[in-house]
Amino acid sequence: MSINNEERKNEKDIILKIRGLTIEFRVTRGILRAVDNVDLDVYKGEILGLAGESGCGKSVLAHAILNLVDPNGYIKSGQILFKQNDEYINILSLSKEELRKFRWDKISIVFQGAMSSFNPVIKIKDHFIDTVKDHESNKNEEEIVKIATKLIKDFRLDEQVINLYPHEMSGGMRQRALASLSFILNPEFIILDEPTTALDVLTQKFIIKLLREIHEKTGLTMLFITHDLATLAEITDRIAIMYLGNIVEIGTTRQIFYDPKHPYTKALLQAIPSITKPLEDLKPLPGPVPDPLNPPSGCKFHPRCPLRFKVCSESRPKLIDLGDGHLVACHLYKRN
Amino acid sequence: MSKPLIKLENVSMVFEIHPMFGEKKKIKAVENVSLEIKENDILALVGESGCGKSTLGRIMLGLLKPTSGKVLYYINGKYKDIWSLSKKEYKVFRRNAQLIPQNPYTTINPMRNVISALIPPFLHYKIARNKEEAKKMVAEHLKMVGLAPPEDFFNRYSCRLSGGQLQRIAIARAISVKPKFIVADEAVSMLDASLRIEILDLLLRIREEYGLAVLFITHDLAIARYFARKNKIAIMYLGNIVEMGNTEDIIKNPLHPYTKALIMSVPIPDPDIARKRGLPKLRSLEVPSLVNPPSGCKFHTRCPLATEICQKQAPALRNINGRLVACHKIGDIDSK
Repeated sequence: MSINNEERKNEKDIILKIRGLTIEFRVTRGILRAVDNVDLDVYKGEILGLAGESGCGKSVLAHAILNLVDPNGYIKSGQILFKQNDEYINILSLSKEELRKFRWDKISIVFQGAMSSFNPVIKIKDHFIDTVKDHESNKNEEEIVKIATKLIKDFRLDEQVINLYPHEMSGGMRQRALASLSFILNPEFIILDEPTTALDVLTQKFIIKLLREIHEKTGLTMLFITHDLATLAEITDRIAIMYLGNIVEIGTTRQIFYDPKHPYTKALLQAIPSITKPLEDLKPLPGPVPDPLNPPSGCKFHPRCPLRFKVCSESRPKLIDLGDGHLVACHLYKRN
Repeated sequence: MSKPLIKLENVSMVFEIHPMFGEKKKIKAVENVSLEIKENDILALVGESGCGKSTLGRIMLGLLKPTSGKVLYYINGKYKDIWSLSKKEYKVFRRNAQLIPQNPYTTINPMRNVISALIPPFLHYKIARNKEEAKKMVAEHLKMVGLAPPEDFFNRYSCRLSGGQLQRIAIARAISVKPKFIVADEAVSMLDASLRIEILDLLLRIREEYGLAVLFITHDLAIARYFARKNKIAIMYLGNIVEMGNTEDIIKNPLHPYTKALIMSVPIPDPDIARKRGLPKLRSLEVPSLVNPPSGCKFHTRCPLATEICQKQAPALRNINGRLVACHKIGDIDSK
């Protein structure tokens, strides 16, 4: 999919529909609404970036797609519809057994902090074997190891890694091994949650390029979550920006970077130094960061917004389409 | 011409690890580094995790004793090794060299509120005559770092403060004793992207006002460029400095192959530019172990230019066109 593709997509191209998703957590000080009535469409074969700062709800949202919300949290309302054979099934209403079959086979996820994702007492190759056997009991071990070795090598790991235990590898190696594991069942959709954050910059660059190549070859749909907007510039087709549990803007990568509409998106882009941008162009984003347990009324960004006016503190703006697939939730804009 | 405040001469740091099972291991965290910080100057120290930059910062502050080499401080008209200072001289050094650590959440004792955390240095160094005066000075400093009205913050504990606020307090604490030199160790890495330049601007303003020298440690080249734009930058790899010179020069025209690879890999928040860049031609993605580092030039296992000499002999830092580079393959003639 070209990054200049600004055509409207058809209904039938949507592989994942999130509707009215609200997720809350019980914490000592009260109820935290981490995801607030979110609607989101993911198109088949696209790489969609989900960006926002700490506490914006992006990780919780991503985990919810596989119904993996933390035990002290709960999905208050909403649907997560995944397209299967021309109809949509609500992932949130799958039984435990159906969900188990679903995970990794249709949608898989690469978590950040790879260590806790591996079983420390079995070798990497057994992770691959177990995963495949869990879903397709007819493949034999030799075949699985062959495919696994190829995947491992794609991520520029030595083939010997297959015989290592997780603790025998560095953090960077584990992250790559985990990423390769998520591909073993040829899922249609992969969620990557900060997949490159803990890695050194050189490895990061390589993984991003590799993911692009895999995407070009397979047409896999990817949801790429990160707090580092700059990493998305190189890989995504579209980007959704989150702030305090809401999606505030969605557009193509070029739209977001070159023509941002929401004041938060604009401020965020202006506050991030790069090695190429002139330093005079940078401006800090005015604080303070709101308390997530007590978010501002109306538009949650209004206290920090240089363009706010009366209605901003009174009513929450909805996401509207500006006409070319560029969506923004801000009272400054009217539907086109 | 300002004179060097602190000089490191051939400093090496070897850590010994005694695992429960297996042999004792040695980690060569810093190897043969010579460096100086001038009064009122900024040096950004950039490198990936494990390169030794934090260790070097601590050595400079006298928090770690190097295994070999000298840490010289200019006091009473002479350069003296900080490990042979008299008690009186050490007190002067200790006051003049302060740290702003990485993690704002663990920087303040959680059992103390802001006022009780910030008062002690004023009393210890007799900057204030009594508690009342100290309290007034704390208030002034809180205002200076943008925490106003200060009285609102006096009784707060760290759990009631945001990362940005905590880091401002860490800055207030560091400057409360009117030091000459500060080591900022990944001072903004744990803060959200939108807040970073605000804190950096604050630090730059304070530096200007107080005439401070700063060693600015970071893994983020873009942040280093922002902070040290008019000053110098040093790039570290596996315990060695590989390139050092003017920040803008080095970023626009890197000479060392590692620096070049870094600059090619840093994420750039500009889709058109980001997508045109290629991958650096590295021979391997694996970062060598510090326990068993490569012979000769430590970068040779990954360097596209490496030849026999690179394996055999560690290159010394040489002056090439006004900057220092440690590489056998770069001559004055072909430095373009």
